[in-house]
Amino acid sequence: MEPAIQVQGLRKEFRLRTKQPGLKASIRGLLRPEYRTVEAVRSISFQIEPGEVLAFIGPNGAGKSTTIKLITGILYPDAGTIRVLGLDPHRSRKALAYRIGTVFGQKSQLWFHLPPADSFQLLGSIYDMSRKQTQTRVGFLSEVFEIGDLMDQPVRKLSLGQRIRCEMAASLIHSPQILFLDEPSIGLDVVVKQRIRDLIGRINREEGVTIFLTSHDAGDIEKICRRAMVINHGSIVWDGSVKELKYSLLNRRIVDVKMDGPATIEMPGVTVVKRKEYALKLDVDLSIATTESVITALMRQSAIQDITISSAPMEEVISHIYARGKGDT
Amino acid sequence: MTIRKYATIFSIAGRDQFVYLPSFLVRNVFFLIILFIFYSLWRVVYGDANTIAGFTMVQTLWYLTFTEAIELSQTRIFNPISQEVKDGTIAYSIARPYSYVLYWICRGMGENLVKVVPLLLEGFLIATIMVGPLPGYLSALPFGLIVIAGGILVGTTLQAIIGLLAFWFEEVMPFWWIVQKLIFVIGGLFIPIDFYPDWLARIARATPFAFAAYWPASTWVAFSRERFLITIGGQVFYLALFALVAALLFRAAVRKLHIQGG
Repeated sequence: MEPAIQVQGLRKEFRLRTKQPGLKASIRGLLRPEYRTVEAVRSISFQIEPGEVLAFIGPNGAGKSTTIKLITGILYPDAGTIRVLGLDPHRSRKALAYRIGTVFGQKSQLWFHLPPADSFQLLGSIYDMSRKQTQTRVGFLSEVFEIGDLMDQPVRKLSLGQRIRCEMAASLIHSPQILFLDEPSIGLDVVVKQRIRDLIGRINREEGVTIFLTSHDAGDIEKICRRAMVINHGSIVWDGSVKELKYSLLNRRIVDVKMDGPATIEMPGVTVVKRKEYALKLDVDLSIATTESVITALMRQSAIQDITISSAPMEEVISHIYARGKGDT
Repeated sequence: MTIRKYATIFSIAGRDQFVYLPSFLVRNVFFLIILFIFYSLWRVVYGDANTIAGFTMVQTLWYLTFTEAIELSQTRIFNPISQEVKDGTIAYSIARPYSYVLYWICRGMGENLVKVVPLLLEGFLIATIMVGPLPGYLSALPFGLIVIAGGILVGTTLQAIIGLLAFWFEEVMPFWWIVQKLIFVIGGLFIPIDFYPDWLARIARATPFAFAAYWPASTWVAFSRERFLITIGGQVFYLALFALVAALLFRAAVRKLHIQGG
């Protein structure tokens, strides 16, 4: 099967006009503007198969949104090739627009004062769907997203969670094959977040929609995505399964242990993060020490009342990768 | 199919506008005040004279209700356009399968035409009370409505162009001020162009600004077939020209986006 997205040696530079402070420099800038070149994307390559759920992660300014704009045909690459559903996104931007959908957490595509049903109707006609096609599709989506009751209420009266569900339904009106989600869960509470995640999963399973998700929320990535790609300073610094990202990239375990008596530990690769009476929180580097040796050492001193071993939280994993990427350049 | 797309944008924008209509009508106390000022002013200017430059006092006041209705009905679409350009969200809007400029013009017109109807009704009431009915009002009505819609469209297209200028200029408001003042003075929004010295009136009549105020209003107050045809012809000409300018600007803008990023 043809890959959903195929990117080869993609590069994009921006020319930014620089200005020195001061009036003199301002006048000089008017006559002879000076430019600084910024490499936003530095020769990246990747491939996404149809039906994949990919998390695209990176700090602000890493090149995330530039990459999305290149893939959707809004920006033109300086070098490299892009194929999205077999199309050159720049040359066939309009044709591609019919086959991809986008949700931008911070930008609404619904009309504020009108009920969602009106916005859905408008989007249907923008995508050249007949009234009947739109109706059938909206019927299906309102069932999946459970927004049937919200259809006739003005968007301004919806809660953020209800609105995001409508936004997602809106971006699926034209049955896109790829859905780009940019920070879909921003500002949502835990329960709603979980619901949105379930819905993304369901759309992916039932309609086979390829999901391309950017998020700062580690939970989003962990719960929805099977594959993660981390971009920093315009380069991809990690590409692999989310499981791997979590378990093997950072070879660390957090050991929370409650002892019967006083205990301490001094072992290479083990740091005491917190100590409170007989309770210890340890950070174990598995490339140097093993959890087993840590537990054995502790048990020699006193009996263990309770113990939990967990892997490092996603936030830390990601910030670790960011830091590593910085070190490379 | 393509036309349906824009027709839907137009009708949704109109429906959306109904929500704002009550507050819009309250704001239009301004309309009443300005017409009262015009009325007081022109009563002095006319004095004992029956007509000035072929216009009666009744015609002049009705003329001003029409030009003001055109002006006050227009949503400032250059604001959201320039905002989208500045904060970069335009990148997402242009990824949709429609013409960006046409989208905004249809959206603006949907709102404008919902607003112009109550303005025309208010104007009708105020002018009738102040100076009495306009002779030939009803027979010219269908033609008047068409050219007034045309005038609003000319103004809206100019606004779309001004909005796109945000790709090159930080602040586009000054451009709007200039265009608006040109419509006020050269376009005959404050005063029928015929009142000007002949040489100035000739120049003013040929400008696009006149087709956004003077021509449509004067077609309604002093209806003739020729006047109607000149108005329509001029509006079509300038709309075609502005549409071309807007399309070229948009193309240049997208190219600029490619070089400098969103």
